[in-house]
Parts: sequence; C-alpha cells; structure tokens
Amino acid sequence: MLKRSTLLREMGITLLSITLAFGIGAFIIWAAGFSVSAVFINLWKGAFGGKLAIGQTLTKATPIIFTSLSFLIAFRCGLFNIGAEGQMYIGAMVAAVVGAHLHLPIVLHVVACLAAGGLAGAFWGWIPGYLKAQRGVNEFVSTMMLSYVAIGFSDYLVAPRGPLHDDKYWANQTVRIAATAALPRILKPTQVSMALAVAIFFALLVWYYLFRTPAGYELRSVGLSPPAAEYGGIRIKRKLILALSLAGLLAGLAGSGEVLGTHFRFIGRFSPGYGWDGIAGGLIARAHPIGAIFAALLMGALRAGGMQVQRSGAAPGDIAAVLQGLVIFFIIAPTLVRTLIRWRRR
Amino acid sequence: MKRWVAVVIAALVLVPLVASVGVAQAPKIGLILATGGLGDRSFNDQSFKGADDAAAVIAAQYGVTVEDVLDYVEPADIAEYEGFQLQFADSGEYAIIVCIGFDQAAPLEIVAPQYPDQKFVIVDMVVIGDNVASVVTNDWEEAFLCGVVAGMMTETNVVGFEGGMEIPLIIGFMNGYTQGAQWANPDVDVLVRYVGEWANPTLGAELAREMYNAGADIIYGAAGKSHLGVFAAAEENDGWYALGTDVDQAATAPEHADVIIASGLKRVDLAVESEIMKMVNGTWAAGIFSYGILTDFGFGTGIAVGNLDVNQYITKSESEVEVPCEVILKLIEAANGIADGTIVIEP
Repeated sequence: MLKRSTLLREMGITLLSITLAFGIGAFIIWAAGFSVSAVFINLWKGAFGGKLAIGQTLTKATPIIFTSLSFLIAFRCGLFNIGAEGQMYIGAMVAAVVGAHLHLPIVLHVVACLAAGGLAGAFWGWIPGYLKAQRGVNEFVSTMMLSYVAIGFSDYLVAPRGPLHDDKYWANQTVRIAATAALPRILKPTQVSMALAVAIFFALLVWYYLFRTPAGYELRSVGLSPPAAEYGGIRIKRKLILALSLAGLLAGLAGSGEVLGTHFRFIGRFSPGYGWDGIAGGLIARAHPIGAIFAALLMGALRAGGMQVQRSGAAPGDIAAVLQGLVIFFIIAPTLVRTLIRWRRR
Repeated sequence: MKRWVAVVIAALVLVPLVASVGVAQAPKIGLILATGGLGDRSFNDQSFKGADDAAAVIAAQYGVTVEDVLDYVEPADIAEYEGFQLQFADSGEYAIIVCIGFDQAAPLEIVAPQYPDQKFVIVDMVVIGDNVASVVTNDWEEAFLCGVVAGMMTETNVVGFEGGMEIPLIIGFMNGYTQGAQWANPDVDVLVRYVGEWANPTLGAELAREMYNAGADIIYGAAGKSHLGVFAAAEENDGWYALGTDVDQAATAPEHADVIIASGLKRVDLAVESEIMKMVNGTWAAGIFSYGILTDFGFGTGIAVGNLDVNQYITKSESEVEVPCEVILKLIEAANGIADGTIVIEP
C-alpha cells in the first residue's frame, strides 16, 4: 500500500497536471477564437450541471471503469494491454447475441449475458497472453492488432447483408435485446444503468484480488520483478496468460454493460474510444482499482462536458476533443515517463 | 441569520422566474445532424440550410441573432444519438428538435415518449408518436431523373452507382437510377458499389475508380460525404463524369463543376424549414409528411441540370458540362410521366 505522504504527493502531481492541461487548453481555445469562459462553463455544465449532466458523466464513466481495470490488472503483472477496445467489442457482440436470442428468466438472463460477454473478452485476451507466454510475442502489438480484427469483424456482422444486421432500422446494429436481458436504468431519463453498480463491484473485486489474496500477490510480484517471482516459485507464464485473460474479461464486461444497460443492442462502432480511455484511466489511477473509479469519472466528465460544449455552440466538438486530449496527455505523461525510465533501468 | 438566507434563496429562485416571464422568448431550434456531418455539400448541409433559413426568419422576428435561435450538433457515430436527443429534450429550451437521418429512428423511439410535450421532427425515416413529425422523400424520383441523364449521355453504355450503405433507403435510389437509365436507354448496364460508410471520401474515390476502369463513364453518388470521392476520381481522366445527390453539387462543390453533369434534388431544406415554420405559426402537427413529385406536396424531388429553369422539377445547374437539348426534353417527358402516373418506379 502507498504510504500516506506518497499518496498525497501523487494526488498533488495529478491535480497540478490537470491544472496545467486546462491552462494550455484555455490558451488554445483563446487562440482559435472562442470564448474561454463559455467553453469552460459549458464543460462544467455538461459534466455536473444538473441531473442529466451527471447522468451523462456516469454513463460515459461506466465502461471506462471496466477498461481502466482491464488495463491496470495487466499493468500490475508487467504487461501493457492496449487491446481493451477490441476485447470490449467482442464482449459486447456476444452479450448482444445472448441477450437477443436466448430466452431466460429475468436476472438469470442478465447474468448469462454478462458471463458470456466477459468470457468472450477473456478469450480475446487469452490469445495474446498465450502468444506472449509461449512465444514471447510482444503483447503491445498483438493486443492492438487483435483490436482491429475484433472491430472489423463486428462491422461485418452488423453491416447490411451481415448475419446480425437489424433490417428494421437499416442502421449498422443488431436487433434489440430481450427485456429480460436489460440492466435497469437507475437515473431516468438518463442512460445510467445498473452497469455502473456492476462496474464498481468489479473495482472492489479487483482490489480484493490484487491486494488481499495470495494469487493477486503473485500476479503483482511478477510485475514487480519477474526473476524474483520465479525464484519464489511462481509460474510466470501462467500468470502472464491469466493477467491478460482477466484484462480481456474486464474489457468484455465493459462492452456487455454498454449493450445491456446503455444501448440495449450492439451498435456498430458504438465506442468513442472507451478502450483507449481505459489506458489513460488506469495510468491516472496509478494502477489502483479504487482510483480507477475516480479516474473514469474524470474521463466521463470530460466526454459529457465535450458534448455540451458542442451543443451550446461555445466551440465545435473538435475543440472539446482537443481539451480532453490535453488533460489525458498531461496526467499520463509524467507517469508514462517514469514508467519507461524504470523499465530502461531494469 | 436564517431569515436572511431564506430571502436570498427566494430572490435566487424568483428573479430568473420573473425575468423569463417578462420577455417574450424566441423559440429555439435544436438540430441533430446525421453522422455524415456538415461539409458533405449534400444532405446534411442542405438540412442545416433549412434550419438556418428558418432560424433567420425567427431571429428577425424577435430581434435576436441566428446563434440565439439555432443550436446544432454533429454526432460522430450512431451511439451518440440518444445522448444528444436526451440532452436537447431534457434541457426544455427547445421549441422543436430536428433529427436528421434514418439512423436516429431507433433512439428517438425511446426518447420521444419520455418527453410528450417536446416536438420532434425526424427526416428520412418514420417514427410513430403524438409528438413526432416524420419527413420522408420519394428519393427514387430524383434518382430516376439522374438515371435518364446517365442513360442518354453515356458513350460506353455502362454507368455506375455508388451508394452509402446497402439499406432500403439507398436501394431505392439505386432502383430508381437503374430504371431511369434503362427507360432512356435499354442497352445500358449499371454497375453498383456500396461504400459502407457516410463520411469516407477516400474509399468513395477508390470504388469510383474501380467502376470507371471497368468501363463506366458516368457515376451517380448517393453516399453522403463519401461520394465526394466520386467527383475527385472523375477529375483524373477525360471522359469520366459524375452525378450529384440532393442538391446542385456543381454549385456546392464548384471545383468539380467540370465533371458533375447534373444532380438529383431532394428539397430536405424546404421540408425542414416548413416543419419549423409550422411550429412558429402554431400549425405544427405530428404525422408522416411525404415529399416528392408523386405525393400530396407535388414537390420535393427533381433534378438540377442545364442552364435554364424549366419547371419546378427541372431547375438550372452551375455545371460546366454541356447537356444536349434532347436530354432536357427527355427529362421533361420523364417528370411528366412520373407526375401523371404513366411511369411507375419500383423503389
């Protein structure tokens, strides 16, 4: 566990980074000829100004909690899971199929969808894990490339003439899931659903696993020092495969939550980049599962605020995206630099 | 102390309340564009123009600026529609919310019933509801007229069609185009390609090149921003030409006026403007409103071709391509045939 002084210092660095990002963002907004105050007011309004705004933030934060967990559980084992985006698509697709075409009673159906989506994601994480452990294939490359495979495959499935295309609406999406498979919405009229509760539950679960069980301790010790772990009798290869499979499972749940709670169907290219946000979220959280909840809230707030900036006409959506990018960059940059330096020294 | 706090709270609540009652507010328009986005110089730009024109009228009436009246968003993908629809509706600021594009139907069916007092308009798809006006167009009519031009002007007897996605809406365009071409020229062959995306001009150009190389000399694009790539590809060789969609694209994409022979017209601007003005005049009603030559409105589709306004269906274009007189005469025959029912198009 972090010492209290370290914790405070880390929080201080994070806050400083956020301030710096907003400062530079303000300069860019000003230079582009938009009102800085209007953009920031709307960013705030869109993220926290009222029930709908908070709903938007929570809706966007929900999948990012999962993908942040996905990134950090692999990170704790010394692996970079860049492929959460694809694992999420696979999970979402399988959850949508189980949700629409299986007939089960309420609750059981939701559990079945989550399990199927999670396992599908886990399989998509197991492949690079196996390749890494048995053949030494760099997981950086394999997870990312498998992402493109997953997204492209899902595109094919829901495109017109694809086997899962919904003919009724013409759009690239599957049919609606059964009512028994839907996660109830908890903050109507917003899109926030029980998926949020599931996400927080899993954050606690991951925390318990990593810090309170021997298996989690072993997984972390592989990340801290592989030779020492091996000397201590831990079978490293199995841990590597397990870590990436768990990462895939969590990302798969992110997609399942989107299908079961937010959209009630699989929509082609539904993600604005939640998988990538998870990398940022995991790093902002300093790879701590509880921190991931708050990191995801920040990312979700930025996304929700960006929508309001666009709607109010304070600035085009692109400007909001620039701001999001800056915040992520400034928060991650120090962590990333530190991590890379540590890895080079090794 | 307590009383002081109460006074402040009362003031905070009452002042805006009184202020909002005192001034007659200009009705606000919310516009949610399709994923093709602004800059497609076709469907989205045309829809925006309709809303913008209406906003200008309202703004002049109330002495405010257009920006005060019209708010719009460009969703990047279909998963964002529901969030935006909720944001607009829940703010309660908008007298009317206009949703552009067929793919907004699924989320609107969820959102509209939650806000029964909010007026919605959806373009290109039907959503049933007491607070939704659905605006649809006989797209196959404009496509048929474009097919007539292609059938008569092709020298290779092979023409092309590039659609955005293989969905009933675009298949309607394709069928109208094919029937028009074969009505004017029974020997013509039609090549068909679908981009699969609405905002990918690079892929649009790639598919167009392939059709040109396979012998097509005129390609009709109905793919949003993607078929801007058809125009770019047509520039690459003498004798390669293109047809535009929904607006006179020789005017909206003037750099390609030398290859765009003509453009189908879909007056989605008029449709959007009329829905908004109905709201302003208090005559707005829910229901299905179908535009086209063969509908109650009798207008809404047509073709921009040549340099003369012939009638309400055949209007002049900024195109620099010479169009022979007999093509125009054939178009008049076709438009009249559609209007009086002697030409039946299978969409």
